[in-house]
Amino acid sequence: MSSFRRTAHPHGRASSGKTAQLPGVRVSAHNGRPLVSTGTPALDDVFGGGVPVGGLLLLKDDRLTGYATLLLRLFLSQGAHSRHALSLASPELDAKAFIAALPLAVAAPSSTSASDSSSSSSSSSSSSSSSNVELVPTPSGGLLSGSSRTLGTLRPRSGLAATSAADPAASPQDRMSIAWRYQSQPRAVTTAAPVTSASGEVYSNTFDITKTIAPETLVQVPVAILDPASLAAAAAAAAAASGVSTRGVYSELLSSIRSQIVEAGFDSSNGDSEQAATILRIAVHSLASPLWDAIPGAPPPTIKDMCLFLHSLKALVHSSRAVCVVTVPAHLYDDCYKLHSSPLVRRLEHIADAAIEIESFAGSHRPANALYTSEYHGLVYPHKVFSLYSLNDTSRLSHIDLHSLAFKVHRKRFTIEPFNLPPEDASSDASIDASAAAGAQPSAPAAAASGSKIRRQSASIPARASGPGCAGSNSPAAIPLDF
Amino acid sequence: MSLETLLNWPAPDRPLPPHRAVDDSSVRGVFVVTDTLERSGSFVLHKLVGRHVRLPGWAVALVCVAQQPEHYVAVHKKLGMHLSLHKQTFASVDLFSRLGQLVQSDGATDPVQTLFSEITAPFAAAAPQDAAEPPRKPCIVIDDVSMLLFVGLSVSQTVLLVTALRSFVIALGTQRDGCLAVLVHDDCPADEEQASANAWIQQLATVLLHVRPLDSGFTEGVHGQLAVALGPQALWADSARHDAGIVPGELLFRVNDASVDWVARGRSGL
Repeated sequence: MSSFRRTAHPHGRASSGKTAQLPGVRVSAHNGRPLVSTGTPALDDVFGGGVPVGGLLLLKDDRLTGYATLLLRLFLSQGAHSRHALSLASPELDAKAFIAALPLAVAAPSSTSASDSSSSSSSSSSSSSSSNVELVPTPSGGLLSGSSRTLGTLRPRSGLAATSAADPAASPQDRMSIAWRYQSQPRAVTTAAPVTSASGEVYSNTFDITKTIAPETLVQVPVAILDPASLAAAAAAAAAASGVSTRGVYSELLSSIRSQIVEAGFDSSNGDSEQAATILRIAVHSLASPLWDAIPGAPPPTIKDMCLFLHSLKALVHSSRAVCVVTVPAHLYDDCYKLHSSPLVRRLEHIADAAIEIESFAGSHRPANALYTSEYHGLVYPHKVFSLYSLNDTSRLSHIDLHSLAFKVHRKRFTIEPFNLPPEDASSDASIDASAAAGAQPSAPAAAASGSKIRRQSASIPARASGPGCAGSNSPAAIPLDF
Repeated sequence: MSLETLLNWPAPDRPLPPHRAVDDSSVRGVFVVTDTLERSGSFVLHKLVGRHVRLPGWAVALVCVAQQPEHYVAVHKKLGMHLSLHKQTFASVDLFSRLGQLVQSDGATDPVQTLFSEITAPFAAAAPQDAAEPPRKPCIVIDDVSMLLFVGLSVSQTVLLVTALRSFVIALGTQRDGCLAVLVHDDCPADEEQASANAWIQQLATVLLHVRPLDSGFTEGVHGQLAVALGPQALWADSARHDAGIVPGELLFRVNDASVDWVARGRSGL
């Protein structure tokens, strides 16, 4: 018998190995750390496979729209489907309703036809997964309808439409062929099929954002909710018991989260204590929102209070089996043209392990080219990517792809993909593509129309002055990208 | 061309000058590394830690403010150095996990004094047993100073702490000719506090290392650019005693999984 024994360390490999056996967790090939999914496969790719356990992600809210909140919902819903414990702190949401309305995960699309899946889908929410996937229209049309992609269609790059390409039962027209010289490029994943870990557990689901999670799924998941009212009550009780002045709201919030972590056994700094057999997903909604300032008698929070809260939360999460996503209404701290911004948001970005900004075209101050707003709903800026326990960033995407991401909400699905410029001759191919697609796929007109949508729309777009120097252009493709 | 070349760090292909017996290119050095959100400069700190841990006669204290100490251990393990094997010459100061307690002043304690004591404690503990043995040169690496400013210290307290640490490592009239390396974020002109603190801290620098994303935008294979410049204190360096031979210049770099590749501007490789 060997005398060598593996030493247990709270942050070492032994701990990582145990954590990696938990549901919804897989090991990073980059640094051997356990990862959990964000609920958005493409975002997982941005972070090198997912959010590392112990990591803190900062999401900068979009203005006037709620796409960042949608990402938060997907993050929590993925946790619920992976049987992770959830903790939601929000000043403005009806938190219970927010949890109850998390999106429903759908199963992998089967090899049956779309019509078969559709007909069997609409009865119950839990059994409708494959039909939901089949009904999702994609820009390329390759995922659901099988309509062929023709030259010039805006499409996910290389592996983005991997579902149709990887399906051996798909027809040759369904498979997307790309030039050989691009086949070695890094691939982002927006597949509709759930991603499984090595143990066979579902790691990352695909969600139907129009359906809500089954109540029986939520019952199995411990959920903790923190709101300003409960924090005010706790602060008042603590002040009455100790006789000291009331603490600030962020001190109370941090104390409550710490209590949750310790009491539920998610604290990994003490290796001897009994630990929970799952992961805690912490969601802090609208940090730095004025709505948090609701504890009577407490001093109003300052910029340093918020930064100290986030740093302390980061330290707390690092030493526990938890992941945390914090959203910040950054637009509240910018002026209209972003000429002068409060230092708060940039400081929070520096403190967080990773920071992503969501900018929707609908809410942006800046005008967007109609050619692109017809295909995408906004842009994703990964300002900072996780580099925990690594010298470099852990992203799977190249630097160019990483900084050219756009998102789109399909009818039932939220996807992020590298932004592609449309070809200049897109409008000339539009009619050919539309007619060919309609002729080849008479049973899937919606998807065929979706596949050629960009061309038909670009052909119908009138020349508009979307930016300086482009007012006289008659070619929609010649309008510069002015955002 | 590499960072080691610009900083005149001896290497197998760059031996010591004939008149010099030991490598003292870091003596009395204050390295100020500035970076941005998109391109972190922490890899430069890893380089500095790795170099000074290997140098004979030096003791290194890595002040962990932005990440927990295990992060640095893991990174250096990838770089080929097990920090746990250098307990005599290396210590990490964990401010990360209790920064809130340390920077908040309750009126009775001064946070600057508390932080100074915490940071310099490893050198007091590592004092040589033999009085005849010369003391090790202290090297303090702080990742990062801006975080102290963010979470509670004022500009004056931050600058005071850095000044005190500089005085600690560069104690004139003694044999304690060490070096100090700090990382500050410099990417938000609207942050007047940070800009002010940075200006003060850069006044203390002998070497400035500016880490930035590429001016020309994102590209494949190159992650950013690093500019080496002499700081204001280099003007007052004692040339007879301290001839660092630092060459101002600019490099492009690529941060790999376990190394950093340097690229001369305008070329595809070294």
